[in-house]
Amino acid sequence: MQEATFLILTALAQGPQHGYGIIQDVGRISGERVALRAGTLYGALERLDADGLITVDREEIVDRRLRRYYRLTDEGSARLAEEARRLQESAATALQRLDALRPGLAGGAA
Amino acid sequence: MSAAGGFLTPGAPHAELERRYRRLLRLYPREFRARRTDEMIGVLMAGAADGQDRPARGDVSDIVRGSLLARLRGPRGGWPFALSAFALTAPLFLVLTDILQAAFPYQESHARTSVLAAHGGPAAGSPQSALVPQHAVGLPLTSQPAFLILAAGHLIVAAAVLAGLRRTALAALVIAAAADYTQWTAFHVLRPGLGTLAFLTIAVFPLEAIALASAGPRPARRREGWQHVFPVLALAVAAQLLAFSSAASRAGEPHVPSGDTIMVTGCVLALLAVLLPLPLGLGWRASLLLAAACYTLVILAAAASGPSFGPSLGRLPQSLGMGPMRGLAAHTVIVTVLYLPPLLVLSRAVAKTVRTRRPRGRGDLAA
Repeated sequence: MQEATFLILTALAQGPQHGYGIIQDVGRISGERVALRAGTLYGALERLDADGLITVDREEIVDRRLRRYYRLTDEGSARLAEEARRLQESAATALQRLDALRPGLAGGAA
Repeated sequence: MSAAGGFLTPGAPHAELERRYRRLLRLYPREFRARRTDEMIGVLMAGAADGQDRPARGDVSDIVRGSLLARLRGPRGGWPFALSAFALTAPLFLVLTDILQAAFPYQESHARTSVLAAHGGPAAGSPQSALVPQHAVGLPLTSQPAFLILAAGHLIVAAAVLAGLRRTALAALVIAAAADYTQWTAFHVLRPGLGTLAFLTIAVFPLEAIALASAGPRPARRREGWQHVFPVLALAVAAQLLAFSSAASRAGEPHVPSGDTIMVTGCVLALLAVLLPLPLGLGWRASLLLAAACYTLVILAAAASGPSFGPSLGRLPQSLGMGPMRGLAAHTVIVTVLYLPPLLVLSRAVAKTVRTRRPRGRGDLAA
């Protein structure tokens, strides 16, 4: 799963959001490291919708503009949970190996 | 504007910016635009800075990239749509092939003489040439019953798919295939150029039959803008012209294009078909099927057009000094291997289509 996709799903894990809300939330989640733009966002939303991971929750007209809210489907929640676990395991493995590597590096440098 | 949730009211200050964004969004395929334009405009305008009247450079490159990917991805529907698009367009291609065949009648020429000589047959003008069946040596195709049945069958198939009548199209396809086979067996030796062209339509029949049986033309026909596939047909006609008629007339003498020329043309055509989804927005799956058809049409025909007229590959068994039986077996293997890629593409498309249809029930795609 690409990082942008993961972050979009994570943004929707908090509840239904519209496009601009997702962009802002993704910025917050990633510590402003990832700045989604409309083309990338809607390409990802199309894919996720087609794959059944998200669905349209509701539509609103605000200031004469369409706002479409998206939410995670059950399948989307499951995929996000699975991906989060995988990333967590990978991160844990990386940290363990770094911990194991440090004494050796320290010894080599001595 | 960039305040959270601060969507603009369409008004004078940002009217120009919105107009420019809307123009930029036209890069997306029509179906995508119909679903997303208003929503995307809302997001783009919400992210615009105060006083901004031109799209941000980052947004421009992001939209260009996104639109290309959307075109490559194609309309929603995956393989069933791609197969349906093929079912809808291939019969039109067959009709155009018939027109080409009728438009380039074989003439008495040294080309035929050399063809006959290569097969140990009588030279044109020689007393023995009278022994060659007249239907095989120069009468216009439009006077051949098999061709007329074939052309009528193709027309009915094309009309039926345009009307969304799958079973009628399938029935007409079977009749046309029988007529095509009859025509090909009569012509493929003595009229290698046009005989090969007739053979090409045979190559389309199994692909079209499978596409009709599994997806049918209706899903593609329901899509707005499916008419955009007509440029594909124009391309196919251009390639046919190139492959079979580029050397058709030198000083009034028709020539048979070499098998290698046909093969190269087939490869170029298949490559062009792969590139088509970008301008047409048909998606990579449809482009793969189109490429498979083009590849099958030209390369298979070239490989199978006989040891004397086929490409170097087709002549390989002969070059290796194989006898008639072993040569035939080797030639069959070569043709089968050439046929494998389009068959693999098609089998994947059919498998996906059947899997997609099952949960929906039989009614949705039935004619």
